[in-house]
Amino acid sequence: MFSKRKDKQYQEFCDQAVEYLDALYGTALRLTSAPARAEDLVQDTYVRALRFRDRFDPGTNLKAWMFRIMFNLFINQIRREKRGRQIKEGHEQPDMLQRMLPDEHMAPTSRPEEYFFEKMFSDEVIRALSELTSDFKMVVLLADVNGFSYKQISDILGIPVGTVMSRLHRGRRALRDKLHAFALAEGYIRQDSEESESEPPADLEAYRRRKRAGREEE
Amino acid sequence: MDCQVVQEVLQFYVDGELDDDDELELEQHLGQCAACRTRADYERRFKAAVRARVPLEPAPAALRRQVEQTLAEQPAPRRLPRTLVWGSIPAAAALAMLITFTWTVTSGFSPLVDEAVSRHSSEPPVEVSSHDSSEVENWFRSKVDFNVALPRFHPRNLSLVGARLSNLAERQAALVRYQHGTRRFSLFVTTAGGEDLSANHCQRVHQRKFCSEERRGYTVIWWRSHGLLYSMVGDGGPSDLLSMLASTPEE
Repeated sequence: MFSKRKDKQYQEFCDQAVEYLDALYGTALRLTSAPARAEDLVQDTYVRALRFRDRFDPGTNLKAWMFRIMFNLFINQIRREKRGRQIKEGHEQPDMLQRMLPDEHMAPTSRPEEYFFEKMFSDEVIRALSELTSDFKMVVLLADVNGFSYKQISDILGIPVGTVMSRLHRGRRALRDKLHAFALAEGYIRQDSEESESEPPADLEAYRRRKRAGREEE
Repeated sequence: MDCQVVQEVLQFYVDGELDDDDELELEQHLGQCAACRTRADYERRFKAAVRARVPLEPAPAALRRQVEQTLAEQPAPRRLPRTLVWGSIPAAAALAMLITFTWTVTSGFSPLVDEAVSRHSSEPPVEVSSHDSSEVENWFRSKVDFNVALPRFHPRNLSLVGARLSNLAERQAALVRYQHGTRRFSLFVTTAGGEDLSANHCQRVHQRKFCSEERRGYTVIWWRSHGLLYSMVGDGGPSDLLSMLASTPEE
């Protein structure tokens, strides 16, 4: 049987875990774009969190830990769905396609029209986000909507920090491209608005290494 | 720091990922360079625009209740159910249950499947005989502390026989008996607890997730609806049973 101390620990765990319900559900809804599926995902997340809560290190961030469980479940779901789809539709390589997109809308001129995204409505941005491939949608949701750090996102998704940075760069670019297309279609901006090329995604570690090397030379 | 470097690390600056020294250096550059300042401003405004336009909707009240119930009902990780012996079960059956539970708990499966199969195969007599779903729902009204809402199956697939009170995973359950030709089926309706549906074979039909498990020659299919857990036990494979359930008109 469980001691009072353990009961108290359990209660604290539950009290804290339930605080993240809205954040988890809100994110799940944007991930899946389907309320019923989002509810199942969140419910399954809590069931799993309880089952594996002895693996949670109390000194660490419970919110990030719960997100990791939810994103794990989601990634497994889309993997299963993809496996099913591949039989019919063949292999898809969203990352490859995204890499071939022209690098637009990254570095603006100083024309106010460039801030087209500020003229857009919530449902338009939500729709554009929902159309991103899952890899991009996940990092944009975690970084821009939930405010997680690169390191936390790396832990949540189980991918290296470098991959987080490049996915975030490309995910934002893809989102901006979609919003730009909407903005043109809705007449928020004119067709002839200038776009300039941007630099390829940078690597924070490479920059730090270069900087360290520079210092050593001095 | 020159414009080239600023451009490279701008994303990290906007995301608050630069070291203090680098941030200071970059801001000094921004103070002197209008082009980079515009770029930084643009990145910041884009991030803020996304955040402002993608609000996180609060969880629906039903989900909150469900989660709170899950938290309340599952007091410890991988813990054996509190009561293993029911008064009405003979010692040998209780021992068999104990073995079953130990196996299911260590293997990570819900004891619910075994229990549902055992209760179905023992064919307890019904307490109320009726072909009418509404009549059966009314019969349960004063007997269980949740609102038994029965799915309306197509009578060609599953015809209602009757119902009785039961238990499942230490919870009150409404046991409803159906028939298809000579085949018998049991539907258990309980309040939804911490069942992990995702660990099993699941598929979505009419926006609803159905999960299945085969045990001892029977198939159990379960799904959630309005905070209740429905478990249907019968013989035949999962796809066979699911096609019978799938003809259910949406509530």
